[in-house]
Amino acid sequence: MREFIRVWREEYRNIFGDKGVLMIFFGAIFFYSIFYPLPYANEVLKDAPLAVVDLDHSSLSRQLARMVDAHESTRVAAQAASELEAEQLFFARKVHGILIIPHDFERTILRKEQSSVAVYSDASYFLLYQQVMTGVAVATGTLSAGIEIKRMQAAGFSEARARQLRDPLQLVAVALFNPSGGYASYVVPAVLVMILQQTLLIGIGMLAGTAREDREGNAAPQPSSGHLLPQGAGTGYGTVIAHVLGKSAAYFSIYLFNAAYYFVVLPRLYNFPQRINPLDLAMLVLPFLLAVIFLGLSLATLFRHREASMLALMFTSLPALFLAGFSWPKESIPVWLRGVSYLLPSTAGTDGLLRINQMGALLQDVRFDVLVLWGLVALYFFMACFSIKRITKKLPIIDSENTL
Amino acid sequence: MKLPAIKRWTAAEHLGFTAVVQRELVRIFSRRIYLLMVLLLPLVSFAVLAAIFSTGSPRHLPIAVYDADNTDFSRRLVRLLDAAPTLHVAQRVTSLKEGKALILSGASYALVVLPKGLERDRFRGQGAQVTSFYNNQSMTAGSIVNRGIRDTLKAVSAELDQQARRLRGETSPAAAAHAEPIIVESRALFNPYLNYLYFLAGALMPTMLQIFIIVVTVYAVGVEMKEGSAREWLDTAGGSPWRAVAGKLAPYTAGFLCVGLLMNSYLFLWLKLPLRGSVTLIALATTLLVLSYQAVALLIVAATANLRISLSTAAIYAAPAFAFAGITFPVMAMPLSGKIWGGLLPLSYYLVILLDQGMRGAPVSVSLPALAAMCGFVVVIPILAVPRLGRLMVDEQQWGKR
Repeated sequence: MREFIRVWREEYRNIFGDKGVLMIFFGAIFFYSIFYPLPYANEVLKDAPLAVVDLDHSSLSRQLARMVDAHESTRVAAQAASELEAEQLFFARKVHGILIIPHDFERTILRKEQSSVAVYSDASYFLLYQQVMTGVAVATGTLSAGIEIKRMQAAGFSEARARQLRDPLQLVAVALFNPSGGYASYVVPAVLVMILQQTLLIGIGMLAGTAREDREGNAAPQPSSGHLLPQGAGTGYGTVIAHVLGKSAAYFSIYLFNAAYYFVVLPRLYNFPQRINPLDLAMLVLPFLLAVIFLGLSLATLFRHREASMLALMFTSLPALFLAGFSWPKESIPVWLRGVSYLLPSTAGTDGLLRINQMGALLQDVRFDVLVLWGLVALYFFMACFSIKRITKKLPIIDSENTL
Repeated sequence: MKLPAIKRWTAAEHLGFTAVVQRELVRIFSRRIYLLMVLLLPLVSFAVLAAIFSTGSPRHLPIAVYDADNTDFSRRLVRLLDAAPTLHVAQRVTSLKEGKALILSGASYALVVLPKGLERDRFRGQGAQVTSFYNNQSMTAGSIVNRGIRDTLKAVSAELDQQARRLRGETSPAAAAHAEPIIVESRALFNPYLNYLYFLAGALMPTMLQIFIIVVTVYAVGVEMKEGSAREWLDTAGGSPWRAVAGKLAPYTAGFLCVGLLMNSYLFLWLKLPLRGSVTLIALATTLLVLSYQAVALLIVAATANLRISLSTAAIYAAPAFAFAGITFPVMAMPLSGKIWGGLLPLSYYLVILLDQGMRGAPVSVSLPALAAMCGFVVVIPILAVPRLGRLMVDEQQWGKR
């Protein structure tokens, strides 16, 4: 127990005496919290530009163009004389959709026949594609329904009755949790989980790499350098466990603040839809942070240099983010890969945190995630103990006045 | 007269570009980290990304149904929902509460409620109503599921309308025209099946590549200062910082170029992304991508003169690049600061060219501005970085900093 408190205090000294680690544990946490949400500040894409090729020049075709322009997701950015002209605008990325209203449009409808308009939409950008499709479909649907309802009214039906008859099976669709479809509300909470994990892993790796450099004489020792295990300490399991837990206590106490900042303060600052159950949130954050810390300590012994952890871990963020299943549905990830992905604390962590923090789930709703995280805590705790014990045996013991 | 000239020539042969390249090759093979980071890990990460999206577009996403009506009609609706390619009725629930719990736990993406009296209302022509609740926090899955439910019910509704019209005495073709005076014929250009693999893998792989390029370059250059070997590096180059930098980076340029072209082949040949434009232009852009990120890496090391800080800076620069490149969330919707930052990333231009010359099949002239911007990075940035880097190489006070 005394050993545990001693290591804890020593690790605080290592952290707070190392500018590099401070920059990751605090600097990066703060910086990314401002920088990452930046592109999504407007939350939704409005007024996707499209070109209208109006071959009819009738009052009805002009009305359709006006209605498309008025819809919030689309804007008529250009009236093109021909399809060729519209295509040029398209390739130049001036417009991302083309609406073609055919010759005879109005006359066909007046003859009570069916007329069709064509819309070409840019599927190389999915969000733009969606907005163009929505704008055109809604505007056209409204115009079409209006025409038919007027006809039915002329035939003697009331307007309400006409609407009922036209759409005998109505659907009321309710968007839950992120009703406005805000992009920041969708992406940023998941990215925040990833930032916590990656900075913690890199920071722990940097502390260990620094200690290793000092130990192996790769660089001149600095007064702030850390140690894997103190010189002359035993390598019995009691000591190793005390060390793993002591260091973890230091990281955990710091990241508890960071997690509170990320999961409680930031969602309010950015006005994300949030339905928070503080106790449930805490019960999920606890195993998540522990799993990441023990994973960090297990990996740490691989790093022989101060920078190695950054080098080796930076590129893992992006694949890990898409493996977490928040954007690409987890059901569509191949089963073997999905299995492997649960070895990353971020997979269950992101899923659980989004459900509790954004969707208002209770702990019982995310019990699978919690179970996975505690499993990882156990697994990585043993790995951390094992690898620290192994590395301590392997390394030469040097006398150092830094040792207490 | 002759002798010194020959001597100078041989000295240049020994100390110069080739010598630095040789020195660098020795360094590369002496530490496993280089080969890992230049060749193996980029390829592994490409394969992982491709595997994630290998299904192309999500199918059979689980939804729950609360069928309170339990009639022939409602059961038919359930069957139709289950038959929709994007949907899979994974659960039948007996209360709203139960259905909501399934959405919260992630077992289903939506709950469709078929209320009591649905069939009766339909027979009376009283506007039967179905409600669906879908998870829009998981926006990709949520909107796919919502679309699936909407299209299924719309088809049923249209069919019922047609039946009613025929009962009222309209003929079949006329009934269709009357029900919907205007229809929309829609075409998804370039990616007609809305394949996410085409959409995302094509953008994510270059994003991974730029991280590897910048990190490796920063490390390879910065470690010379940290470990105090910068002077020897410069001496090997015969005192010219330009030759020192060129010789040092050349092996990595070659390595990353191979990986970049492999990436292009992987995307277009193996994963079959549409390739409708100029292959030459794509290869050229890939070359410029490697060079421009190497240039930015030089600038970062020159500006910070510290390996760790330059790696952190590189992380800040390259790690969030995907968000700023405007593929998922378009540039036009970003605030000005986001647009500017995106414009400072060679990746943004590269992805424009890759889309133009790949999927979109745009004329070459459309891609020239982006190509020019990438050339700008390659030409301007080294002019800013290399002279200062040269001064750092001889400034021993800057060495050993961690």
